[in-house]
Amino acid sequence: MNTNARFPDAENDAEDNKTEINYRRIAKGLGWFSLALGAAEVAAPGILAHLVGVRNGSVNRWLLRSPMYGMREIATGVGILNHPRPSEWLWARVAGDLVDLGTLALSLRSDENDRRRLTAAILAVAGITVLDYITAQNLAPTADVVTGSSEAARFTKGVRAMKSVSVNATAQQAYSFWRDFEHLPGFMRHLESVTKIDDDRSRWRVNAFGKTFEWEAQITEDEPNRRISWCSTEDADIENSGTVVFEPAPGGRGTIVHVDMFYAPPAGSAGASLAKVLGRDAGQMLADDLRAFRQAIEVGEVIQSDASIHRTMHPAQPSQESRRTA
Amino acid sequence: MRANCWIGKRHVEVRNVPDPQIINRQDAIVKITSTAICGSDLHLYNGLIPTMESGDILGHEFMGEVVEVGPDVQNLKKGDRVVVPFPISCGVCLSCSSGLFSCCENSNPNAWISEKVWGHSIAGVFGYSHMMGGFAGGQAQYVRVPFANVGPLKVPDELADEQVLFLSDILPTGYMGAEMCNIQPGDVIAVWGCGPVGQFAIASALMLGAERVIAIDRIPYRLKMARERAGATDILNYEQVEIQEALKELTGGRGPDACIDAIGMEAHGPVVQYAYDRAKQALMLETDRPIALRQAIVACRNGGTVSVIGVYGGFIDKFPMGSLMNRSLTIRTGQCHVQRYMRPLLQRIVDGEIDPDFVITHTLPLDQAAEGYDMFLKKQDDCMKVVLKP
Repeated sequence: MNTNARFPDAENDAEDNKTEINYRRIAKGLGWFSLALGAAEVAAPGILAHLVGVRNGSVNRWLLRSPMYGMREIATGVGILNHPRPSEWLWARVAGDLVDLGTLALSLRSDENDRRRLTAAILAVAGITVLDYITAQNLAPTADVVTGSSEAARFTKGVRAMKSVSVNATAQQAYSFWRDFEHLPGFMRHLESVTKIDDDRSRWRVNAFGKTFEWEAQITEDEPNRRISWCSTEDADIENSGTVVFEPAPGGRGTIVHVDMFYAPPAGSAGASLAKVLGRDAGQMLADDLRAFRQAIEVGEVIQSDASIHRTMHPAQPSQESRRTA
Repeated sequence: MRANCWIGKRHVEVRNVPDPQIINRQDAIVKITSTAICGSDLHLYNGLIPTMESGDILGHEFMGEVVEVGPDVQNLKKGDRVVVPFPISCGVCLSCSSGLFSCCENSNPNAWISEKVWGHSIAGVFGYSHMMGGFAGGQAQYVRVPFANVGPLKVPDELADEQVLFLSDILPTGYMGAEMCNIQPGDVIAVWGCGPVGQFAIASALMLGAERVIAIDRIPYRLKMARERAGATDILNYEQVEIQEALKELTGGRGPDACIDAIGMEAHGPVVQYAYDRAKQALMLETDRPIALRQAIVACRNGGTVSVIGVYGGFIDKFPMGSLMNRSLTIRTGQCHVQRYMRPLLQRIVDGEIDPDFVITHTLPLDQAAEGYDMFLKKQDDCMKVVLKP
């Protein structure tokens, strides 16, 4: 695999993708706006309360400073300015806008507040909500970012997880170890079982987010010692596809195993932002599983500590129910 | 079994806990005969290392007798007397096969936590937080030792526990600190910190051919030991003299050829610098107080080496990068790759070149671990090193 194909074209960014550049600029503006508004809410909540037309009382001032409003604005501002494609943080802004709109709408009920100023504030926030929404939409990862596997491009809205691990083994050893799917659950913690149906088809059960998901996978590409691609079939609990590439590391330093997978979130596009949060977990799960893959291939098993054998937090001391694998 | 558990900041307690069991195929269970409190345990004691849980068993310097081995352990058998290195290392990954045992890629089940903090993880470590793997430590009656084929070193019966115990950490750590200085005949080495690791760094620098070794601390009994036992040629108390001036005076204005930081994240120093770093630490604007490190960099001669073996956890402030870069300095660092040094250092002990037991000032039963921590922290009763007997 040409590893550069995994990322947007770094050299031609500016020429080829003017719209994206513009949206990134808008996002940056929104980031600074967030920071400035948050700073104002925290530093001068009284003046801000007056401007939007709510009563300048101690409770309102405290609320404006709190993590619900002022601190939230600052956090999203930092988040947006810190990421090259801050779509998740822009969605956080959209959610925050909705909180603000709700608060302002509720404030209209009270006679203590200035309704004229409140209405103006609501219109202003509504305007910025639309801008946040459009920018978030346009900076969301799209199928054309997903290159390398045409199968993956099937899902335009989904979660992509992309991780690599280096293993001290030849590409042939790493490929054979992976290709024998049925023994993967022996060390990959999130895999419950894999059952071979025939040479190209297998049934997968995965434990994730406290639930069990099942699907049948079909191998779409199998190049010995180089690459395996798969795709889930019709009845999958989670539609997914992916590619694993075995690349000899430079200087004979083992093999780099690249995994690029894509899956449609269980809740469909309605839960798009939820899926993005899960997406981060999916990346972490994939990283954990790849680390386990390396340990299995290099030392023959996955090392555990007195704390790590427990699924929940446990102090670093032996317990009565310690598992004996030996 | 009885085990010394971390309960919270400045609170350890010896409790009854279940005995360890074999979990992985290369595990061994060791019945501990001697274990020590390390200066780095004080960072845990002071609550400066994140990801500790109430009930974690402490201790990463220990030795004892093998009482059980897993099915894949070939190098050890029941009854062997062993010293166990503090980093847990698989012996086969790219790091281990290049001798970087403390950077093992396969021994930290919680590698993802350290990746978040440090970018990449290092090896698992006994009794040293969950980000270092959540392994139960050796201040206990028994301990489970993973990768027993790689770590534990069999030691001859003629040598007492006290002579070989420190092969587990502080002797190799001090030695590596000196080795990283690439000492040439005639070199002058300055060592910040005269705790047990500093004492061994001083002794090792001399073994490796340094002509003069300057020891720096603020506590008279530690400086006394540095001169009388470790062999330092000069001692400096930074509460009495201005360190940069004194070092220039001793080296004809040039500075030491290499400087060793054997202090790390909880340094003390001149009042203003200390207050500055203490305040930044309290405000969480930095996690570590790099007072000794800054001094070591600024003091080192042009083109010299700064060797860092004191433990740092996170982020520091006012790092003198300009001095480091413009003056062609080399900075070398690392948690000790103990497995690499244990055999040659055991040989030096057998040959009588070094007798590490000189640092021991107190031997206590395991049940008095809490007193040991308190005394070591407060430097009471000229406390240098506490050995616990389970």
